[in-house]
Amino acid sequence: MRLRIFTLSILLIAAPALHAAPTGEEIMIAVSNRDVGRDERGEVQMVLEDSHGEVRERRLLRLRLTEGTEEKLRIQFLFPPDVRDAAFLLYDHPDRDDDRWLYLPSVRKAKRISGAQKYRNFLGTDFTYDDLGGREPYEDTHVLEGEAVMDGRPVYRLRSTPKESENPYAYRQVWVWKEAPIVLKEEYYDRHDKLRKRMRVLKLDRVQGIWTVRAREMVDVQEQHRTALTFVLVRYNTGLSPDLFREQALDRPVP
Amino acid sequence: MQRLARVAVNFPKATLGVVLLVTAVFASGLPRLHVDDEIINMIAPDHPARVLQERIERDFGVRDVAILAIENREGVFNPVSLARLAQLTRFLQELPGVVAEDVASLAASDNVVARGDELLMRPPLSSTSVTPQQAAAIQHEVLDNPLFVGRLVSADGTVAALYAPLRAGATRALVYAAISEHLAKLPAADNGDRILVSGKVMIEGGLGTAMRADLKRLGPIVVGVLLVLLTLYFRHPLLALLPILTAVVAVIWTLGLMGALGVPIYVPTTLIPVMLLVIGITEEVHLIGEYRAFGKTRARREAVLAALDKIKRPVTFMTLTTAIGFASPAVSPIVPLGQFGLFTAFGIGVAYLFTFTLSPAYLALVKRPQSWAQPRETAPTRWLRAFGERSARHPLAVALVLAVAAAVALAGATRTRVDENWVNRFKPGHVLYDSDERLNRVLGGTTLLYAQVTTAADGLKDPALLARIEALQSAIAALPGVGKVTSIVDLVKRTNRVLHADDPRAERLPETRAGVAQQLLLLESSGDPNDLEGWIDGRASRALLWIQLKDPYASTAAALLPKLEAFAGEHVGQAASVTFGGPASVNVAMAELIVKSQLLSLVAALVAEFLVLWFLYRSVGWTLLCLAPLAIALPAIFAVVAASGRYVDIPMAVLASIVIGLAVDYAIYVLDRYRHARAAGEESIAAAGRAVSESGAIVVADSLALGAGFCVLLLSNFAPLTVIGLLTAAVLVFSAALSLLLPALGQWLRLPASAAREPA
Repeated sequence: MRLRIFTLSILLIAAPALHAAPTGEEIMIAVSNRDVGRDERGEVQMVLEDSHGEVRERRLLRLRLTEGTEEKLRIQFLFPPDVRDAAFLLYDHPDRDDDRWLYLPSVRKAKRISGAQKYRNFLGTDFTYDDLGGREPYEDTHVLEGEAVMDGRPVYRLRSTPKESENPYAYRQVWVWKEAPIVLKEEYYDRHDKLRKRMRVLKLDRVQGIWTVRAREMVDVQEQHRTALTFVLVRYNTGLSPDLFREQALDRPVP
Repeated sequence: MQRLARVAVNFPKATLGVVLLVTAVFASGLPRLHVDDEIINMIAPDHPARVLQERIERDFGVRDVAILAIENREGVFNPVSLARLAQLTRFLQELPGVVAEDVASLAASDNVVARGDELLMRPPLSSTSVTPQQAAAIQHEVLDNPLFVGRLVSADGTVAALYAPLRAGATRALVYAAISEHLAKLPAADNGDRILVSGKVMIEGGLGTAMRADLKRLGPIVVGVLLVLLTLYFRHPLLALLPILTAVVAVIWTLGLMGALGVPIYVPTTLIPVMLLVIGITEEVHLIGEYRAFGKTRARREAVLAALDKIKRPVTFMTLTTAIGFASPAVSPIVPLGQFGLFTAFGIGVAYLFTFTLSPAYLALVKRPQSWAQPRETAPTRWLRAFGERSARHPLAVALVLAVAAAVALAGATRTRVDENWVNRFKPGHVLYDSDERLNRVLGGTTLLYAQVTTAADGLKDPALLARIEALQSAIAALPGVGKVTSIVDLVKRTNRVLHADDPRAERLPETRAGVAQQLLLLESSGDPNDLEGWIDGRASRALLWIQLKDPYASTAAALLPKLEAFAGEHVGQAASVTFGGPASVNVAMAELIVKSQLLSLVAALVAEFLVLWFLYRSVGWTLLCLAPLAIALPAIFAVVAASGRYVDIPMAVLASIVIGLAVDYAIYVLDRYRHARAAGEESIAAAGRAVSESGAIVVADSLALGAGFCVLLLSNFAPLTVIGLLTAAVLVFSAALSLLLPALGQWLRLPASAAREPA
C-alpha cells in the first residue's frame, strides 16, 4: 500500500505533462512516503544559538529504522561529556501518539516519557517533535498555492493548516522541491498571523542515490533563537539490528 | 506688554482672530499626543536601575506579568472553578499582547510526575471538564509540588493564579483593557468564585486608564463649579467664563506643543491641565476684580487698561516665580517630573501672554453688568479691611502666630518618609487594591525581586555551586517581608525525586556534574523550554532566583537589599557573582531618585525665587516676607502627609512643585497693593487695611473658588488625585490666609515702600 501510494505520487510529480498539477495533499503524502531506505546511521552536529548570540554545541549519533509504516529513531549523545551516552528512543506511529523513552546514565534506567509534547520543543532545540517528522499529512489541510523557483530549484508552495484547534500555529507555508518530495523551506505563523519560525534546508545532496538533507536550520524569529543541524557520516541500509531500537537496549551505547 | 494690551483693546476682534489662528496651529499637534504608561520609561534610559532591569528582562526573558486568580473560599479544586481556570488560561494565551507559551497556570505549566517507570509531563489540569474525583487528584498532585504552591496555587487551596507575561512591544494599557473587558463580560459565578486581578501589567495599565477616566469625568465638574462660583462673584456669566477660557486655551497650546514634539503623556504629566487651570484662572480673576473696582466710572477700554496697569507688576512677578517653581524639577532624573515642570512653565508663559492679549480683547467686547454701576463696599470687604487694620496694630501677635505655625510645620516635616507603592494608587474597594492585598496574603507575594547568579558556561552544573545557591535561597526565604523564593535548585531536586520513583528522600541535589547535566537534559526534553528558561539559561552559566515579596512598598525591598548582598557574599562568595534586580528594586531606585530630585529642585526653586523677588523688590526684607507663606506651607504639607501616616511618592513630589508655584502668588498681590498705597503716601495702618480689603478680597475669592473646584477631585477613585485635590485646595486657602497677614508684618518691620522695579 505504502509503496503504491509512493509510486503514484512520484508519477504525479514527475510527470506533470501527463497529469494536471498534484493537489497539496498528494504532495505532502509524497513527502511523507519518500523512500529513504530501510535504515540510516549518521551523526548530527547541533548548534543552539540564543538571542545574545551565545552558542552551545551537541553531537549526537542518530539511528533510524523503518518497519512498515512505523519509524523508529534512536538518538545517543556523544558531546558534551556530561550527557555522553544519554539516549533517546522514539517510535513514530502513523495512527496514534508516539512512544518515547529517555535513558540517563546517572539514573541507569530508561524512563518512558508521556504527556502532551507534540508541540513542545525537542531537547531544547527550536524544532518541535512535530517539526522533526512526527506530524502526519492527514493532520493538516494542504492547499497548493503556487509554484516558484528557490535557489535554482523548482518548488511547490503550499499552505498547511492544522485541523486540530490546540495547535499553536495558525498555518505553515511549505516549499516542496519538485524533483524529489522534500520540504526545503517552511514558515510557521502564530495565531496572531505573525511569522514565528522559519526552517530552511541549507545543504542537500545524494548519498547512495538517496537525496539527503545535510544541513538545516530553524530560526525562531520572535525569540531570536536559532538551531542549526548538520548531518555527517550518513549511511543508508547498513543492516541495523532491530534490537538496538528496544528500550532495554538504551543502556548499552552503540559504538 | 501694556502696548500689546492697547492693541488688543483697540482691535479686539482681530486679536481674538489671531489667538484663534495660533490656537488652531497648536491644536493640530493634539492628535499626535500619545500616552506612555510604562513606569520604567519614567527613568532615564541610562540610569543604572533601568539598565539592570532591562538586562534581566533580556537575559532571562522575564517580563512584567498580568496576574489573574480565581478565589473560592470553599477551595478551587472543584469541576466548575477548574473549568473556569482552564478557560481563563486559554483566553490569556490567545491575547495578542501576551506571550502565549509563557502563560503560567495549573492548566499551562508542566508538572513532572512519576508513574512507576513512566514520567508523565503535562500540566496538572489538561482538560476543561473534570470530575470531582479528578479535581481532588489534581489538588493532591499540585499541593505536592513546592514550585506550584505559593505561586500557582495557595497552600490552602482557595486561590489559583494565572500569570500572563507581556509580549515585548505590547502596551500595558491595551492588555489591561482587553482583560478588563473580558472579565466584565463573564457571567457571574454561582459557585462562589471570585476573580482577582493584579500584577504590574494590570496595575500600571490601570493607573493611566483610571486617572484619565477620572479626569475626564471630574474635569467638567471642576470647571462647572468654578464657573458657578465665579459667576456668583462677578455677577456675570460671560465675565466668569473668561478665566476658564484663557486657561483652556493655554492647555490646548501646551498639550499641542507636547504632541508636536512627540513628548508622551506620563501619569504625572496628566496633571498639566489641572495645574494650568489653577494658574490661568488666578490672573484673570485678579484682572476682572480690579476691572470691576472701577465700576462704570470709565469707558470700557480705558477701564480694562487701567485694571491691567494695576495688576501688571504682581502678575509679572507671579508668572516669573510660578514658572520657576514649576521648572525647578526640570533637572529631575525622573523624566515625567521634569517634563511636567517644563511644560507647565510653558503654559504659564502662555497664560501670561493671554492676560495682555486675549483677556483685554475679550473684556473690550463684553458689556459690563448693570450692578457694577454703583460699586459699594460689601460686608466681607469691610471685615477684611477691619482685619487688615487690626492685624497691622498687633504685628507682634501676627509674628508670633506665624512663628509658631512655622515651627510646628517644620517639626512635623522632619518626620517625612519617602516610599513608593503602586498598588496604593488605588483605593480600598478597587479590585486591584483588594486583589493584591488578598494575593499577598495567600500566595508568596506579587512583587518580584530577582537574584541573578552568573558564572562560567556549564558552571551551574556543579552540585557544589547549586548547594551554595540553595543555602542562599533558604537564608533569603527566612527574611521578614519575603514570601517565597524559588530557583533552579527546586526544579532539579524535584526532578531527582521523580526520577527515583517519587521517593521523598531523593528530593535533593544530584551528587555529580553529570547527574545535574542529565536532569537539565530531561527538563529540556520535557519540551517546554520556557518553563526552564526563567530559571537557568541554556549554557548553564546564569541562574535566576525569584524572590516574592509580601508587600509592594519600596521600603520593604530597600530594607532587604543590603541583607541580600551580605547573604550573597556569605553563601556564594567568590564561586559566582550575584546581582539583585527586578521590579521591586526599580521601585527602590525610584524612591531614592525622588528624594534626591526633590531636595535638589526644592533648593533650586527657593534660591531662584529668592533671586527673582530680590531683583524685583531690591529689598531682602520684602523678599523674605514674600517667601514667608511658602516657607510655612511647604513644610506644613509634608507635616500633614507625615502626620496622616502617608509618605512622599511621585504624586506628592508633583504636589511639592505645585506648592512652590502657588504659595507665593497671593502674597505678591497683597504686598504689591500695600507697597503701592504706602508709596502713594498712605499711612501704614490704612495701607494694610486697603491691601487686605482690595487685593485680599480678590485673593480670598480666588482661593475659595479654586479650592472648591479642587475639592471635586475628592470624588476620584484614584488615590493620588484625591490627595492632590485636597492638599492643593488646602494650600490655596492656607496661603491666601497667610498673605492677609503680611502687610501687618511689613509695616512692623518698617520695610521701605519704594524702589520696586517696574516690569518692562
